[in-house]
Amino acid sequence: MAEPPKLRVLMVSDFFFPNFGGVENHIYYLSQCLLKLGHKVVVMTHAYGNRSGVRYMTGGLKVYYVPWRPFVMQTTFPTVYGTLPIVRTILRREKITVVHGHQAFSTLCHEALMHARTMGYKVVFTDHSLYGFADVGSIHMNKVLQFSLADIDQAICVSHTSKENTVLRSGLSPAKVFMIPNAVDTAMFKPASVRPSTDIITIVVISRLVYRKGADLLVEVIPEVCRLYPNVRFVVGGDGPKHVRLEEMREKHSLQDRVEMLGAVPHSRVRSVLVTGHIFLNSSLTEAFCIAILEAASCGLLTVSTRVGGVPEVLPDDMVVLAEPDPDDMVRAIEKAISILPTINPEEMHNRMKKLYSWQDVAKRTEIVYDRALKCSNRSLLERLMRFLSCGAWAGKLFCMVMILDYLLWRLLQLLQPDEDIEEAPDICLCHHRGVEVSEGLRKKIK
Amino acid sequence: MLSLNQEVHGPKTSEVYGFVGSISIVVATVIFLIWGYVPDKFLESIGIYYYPSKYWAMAMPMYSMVTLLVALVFYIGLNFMSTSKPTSLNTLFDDYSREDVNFLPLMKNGEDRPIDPISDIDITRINDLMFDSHLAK
Repeated sequence: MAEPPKLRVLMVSDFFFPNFGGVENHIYYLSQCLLKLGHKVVVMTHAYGNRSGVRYMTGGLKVYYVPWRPFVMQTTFPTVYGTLPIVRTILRREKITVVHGHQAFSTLCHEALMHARTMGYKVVFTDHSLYGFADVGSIHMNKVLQFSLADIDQAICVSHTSKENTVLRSGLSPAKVFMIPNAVDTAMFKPASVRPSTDIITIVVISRLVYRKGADLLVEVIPEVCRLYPNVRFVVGGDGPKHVRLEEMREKHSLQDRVEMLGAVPHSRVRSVLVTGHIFLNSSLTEAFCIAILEAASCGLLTVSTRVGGVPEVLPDDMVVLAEPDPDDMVRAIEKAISILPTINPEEMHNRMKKLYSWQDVAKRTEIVYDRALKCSNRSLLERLMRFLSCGAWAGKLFCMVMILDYLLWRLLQLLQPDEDIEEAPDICLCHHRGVEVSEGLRKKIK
Repeated sequence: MLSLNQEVHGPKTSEVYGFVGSISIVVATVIFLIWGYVPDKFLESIGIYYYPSKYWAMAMPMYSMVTLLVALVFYIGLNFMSTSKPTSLNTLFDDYSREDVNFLPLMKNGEDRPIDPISDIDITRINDLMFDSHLAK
């Protein structure tokens, strides 16, 4: 007889498997650890090609692939009210207690949070990215975020820098924002049993080759380092628009034998690439957090990274060499890293990472945020409208109208299909221990 | 050097764009309102004779709003069309389905176990767990 689940969490985002990225990994690992703590977790995302409908995944994680077409960069088109019926049905079927939205750029997340608040559910939001304040896209995105978070219970950011950024952009009270970092599965990212020799120093780069990840910096840094240190070679994993520039750099400086381009690296193969190196190079121009350097440090690599966003918070000072996002400074940082490389002990570094970052710890801290959200008092529609009104002279009134209409539509749905008429989905109890699964298999055979 | 220049001029450029943008919008709004509301006689009396038909002052906003509404209806209809039929196999399998892979089958006691990689659980097993009273206990 399984214990009744403590909490029933709905994770909402446009980004989930089969898409790959930091947000997708975060949602998956967090869900797995929450399931192990005894909670029930359901994920809601949009359909990916033929992957549509309901799926059950590892650990009994139920995923709703809502048939909603992505519009741009895997984000759905904002319809404001279009998702209200399906969100209501899912919340009711799964008897959800907390709705957890992920990523500021996810349309589905913002709409689901809005509808959940209208229906009186507790909502938590996690922001995974940094945004600027001065370009047209950021200005509009910040206004949407202000609307979406004006009425939220609790928010989570992945670094202190990210928290400052989110608080400034959305006008959210800092007391409502928790800092819970990303983590790394240290059991998966272990150092090589035999460390590669330092006669040839290998520097590993694994990231998407796009502007935001600083691929243009690599084009200038790699030839300079190769010129200064004949015994250095590079391994570059990842694909993207800047791939051609890096290939041109290899041709131009005749570095075909010293710079290896791997192309896209599946996440399951990242460790086998990392353990071949001594130094990990991260050249991002903006990062709220950087899971890649966590994975590298867990594998025992010394990290060289640009000093941007939340990166300085990620690792202790003796595990990372920071540089400004400038080719000359990055070359100097790599020189410094090479000079301190003999003092690095990969096994010791891995053990420290095991203590510093683990998804189990992230899940426990998220649990605290959920409990805090559940303690927040329920607010009537009028109180919520007051909050929206304070968002701006014109925007506030517009937000109020949007919310009033949302409330009326919800009432209309209740009239057309009362809550009692929505069938509740049965729960499953999936055993996590391998031994019990085997016995279940035997029991099936007995039948 | 190039990045240094960008740093020096970047914020100012953004501020200039913002300032010019806001002033332009205010001026454009005033002109639009004058065009839409001031009678023809007054405009002609101060020498303004040539301007687009006032009809468009009403038509353009209405066209835009109706286009947006129709686009929303179209998008939601498109989503309904893309919904799989109840009998479709895509509700069970698809291009991205993954079998459960048990790597690291030999686990020593006390050794850390990685979080299981993402994979699908077969629907028959879910049905057994959900509805078979024996296994539910």
